[in-house]
Amino acid sequence: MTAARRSLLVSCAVLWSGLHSPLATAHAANGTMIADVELNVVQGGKRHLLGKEPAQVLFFFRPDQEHSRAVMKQMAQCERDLAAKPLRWTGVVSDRFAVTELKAAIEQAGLAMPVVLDVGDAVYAALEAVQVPFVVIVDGAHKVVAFVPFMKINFCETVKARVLFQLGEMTASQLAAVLDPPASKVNFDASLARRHFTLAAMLFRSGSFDKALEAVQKSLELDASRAAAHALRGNILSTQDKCKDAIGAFDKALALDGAQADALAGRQACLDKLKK
Amino acid sequence: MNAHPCTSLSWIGSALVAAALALTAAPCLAAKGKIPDKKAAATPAKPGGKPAQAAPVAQGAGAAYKEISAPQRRPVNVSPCDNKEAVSAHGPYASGDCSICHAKNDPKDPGPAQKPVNKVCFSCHDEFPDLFASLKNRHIVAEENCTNCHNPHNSKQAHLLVSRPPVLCVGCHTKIKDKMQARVQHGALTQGASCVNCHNPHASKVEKLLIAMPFDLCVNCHSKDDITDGEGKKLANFKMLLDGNPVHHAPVADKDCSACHQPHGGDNFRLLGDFYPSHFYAPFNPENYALCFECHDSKMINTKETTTATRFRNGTRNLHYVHVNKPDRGRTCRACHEVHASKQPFQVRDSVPFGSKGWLLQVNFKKNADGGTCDKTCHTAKSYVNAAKAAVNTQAAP
Repeated sequence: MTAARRSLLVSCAVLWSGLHSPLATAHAANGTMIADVELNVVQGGKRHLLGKEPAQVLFFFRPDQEHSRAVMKQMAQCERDLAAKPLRWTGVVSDRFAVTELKAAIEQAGLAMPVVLDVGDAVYAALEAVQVPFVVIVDGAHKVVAFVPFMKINFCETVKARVLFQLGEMTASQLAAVLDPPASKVNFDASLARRHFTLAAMLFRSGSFDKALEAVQKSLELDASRAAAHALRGNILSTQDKCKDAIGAFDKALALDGAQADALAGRQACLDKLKK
Repeated sequence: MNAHPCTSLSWIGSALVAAALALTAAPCLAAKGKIPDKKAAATPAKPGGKPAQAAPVAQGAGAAYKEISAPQRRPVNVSPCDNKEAVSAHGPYASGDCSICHAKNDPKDPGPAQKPVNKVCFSCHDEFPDLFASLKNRHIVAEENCTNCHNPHNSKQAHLLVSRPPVLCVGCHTKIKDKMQARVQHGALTQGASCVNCHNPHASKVEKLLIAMPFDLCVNCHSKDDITDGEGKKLANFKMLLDGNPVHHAPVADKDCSACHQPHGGDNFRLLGDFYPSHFYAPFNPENYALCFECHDSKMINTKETTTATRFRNGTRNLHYVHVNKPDRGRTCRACHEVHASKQPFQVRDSVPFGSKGWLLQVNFKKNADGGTCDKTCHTAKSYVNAAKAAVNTQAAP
């Protein structure tokens, strides 16, 4: 590739605004402008590398590479998931690979996007890339807005999030939550109060009032802010003819939620019972 | 509660036996004197003390959850074991309230489960429908039948598990079982909660049911000073390493340790996914770079002249080729690059070991707009100019 051709592909600009460390990546920085070129398409015909869409996905891969083959399948799913979005999808592959080999790989992965042949790896070099597979997201002005290198975990999710962020359909905090997801730990205790409450309700329904009372009290010890649990305790006590205590429980429920239906009904039933 | 005999230790023979049947087959042997009478069970009460059908059970959770009715995936014995041996017991079973899950409250004849297994479970464990509905990465086995992994009565394992991880998990995940027996093993699988150290067995925000992104999991252990490999060699404290070295290899920056490492075990040094030379010098052979070539194009090394395959070139002369592509003393990747992080661009090392006395020879690499320089190092000062990039920069200048 000549320097002149390279100069057509790249002009400089560095407006780093990504979420990674500015020193972390070895590729063209966000803000780099990419010049459009017309290239041959593996599936036939010609295509401009870039268009006018607000978000344009350039997917670089190699058909002879395990990571690429895995990611190609994921990208096919990405395409389907984002089919309704105003996107321009373009696969980019070195022209050193045979078209028949490329067609087979594209078909096997189920990629729907047109794949252009990168003559002499000019586009790849213009992006200062040193590895494949990767995805570059470009805006309508042909400026690089995100670079997504190969990841074994959450690659497609990351690409989709970057695209949706570019389209304004995802906030920065939502994007950050995808790039750095909060831990999904197995939390055995978090829902214990709710579980005791549910068990109490089931025991109450089955007529095991003492056990139901025990369970709802455990629930309230763990979480006293649940109006329904106080109401349930009231109903259990009421069933056990302890209306005075029950009214106290109903009052606690109503203090937390003035419209708590079980507490309202149970309190009234207790009052009626006491009147008799 | 008194001990219950293990009513049956035989496995339910077929994986196609519905979990509902499995539940039916397991008698709920509740403690004597703690069982609500049938009459009470049959005449539920309502607020105010009169019989009623409704109870204030939290409803609505998991409205979006797509219920799956599926056969048991694994032959699991859900019979209760001797309570003396039990480590965990299910609340309703322990309190003798068979009718919470079963048709009847008779421990000798509890009848069938009231509903398909997960419907029964979710009537109390009501956070799970929401969990399954809200997270994309779900454990299908959990989604189908809780009893694939849990005994609904009691268990010799914590959390009512039918067996402990990793035994439980590798019963299905047989490829992982093979990897666990590989030459290089990972302590994460044998210590602590084993598989559950890193995976959420129900559902997760991260692929492969990982609790968090790989890096965030790895540093839970690999951010200490006292971690050693199987041969007792100290392993890096990654938090310190990365904090002190701001240039991170892309997989590190993207929290994807698994791009290069096999977390379940493997045959390569340091659980690497493919071969990576452990020495400074090696005759050039693409197989020596199998790990690196998983992402990096081999053209970077084996093309003598280029303007595209690498930026480490002087004009068109590929300096990666010059350094690496030698039949005898070719430099391996590690000769010049740190694999995780460094202070220099491109993860270039600060220094390289020289001789047998532990002396470190400084690399003195400096990157500039059009290339870079290595000074007073393995060789005298040598600079390179990335010609094509220089041309672009020149053209872009006003």
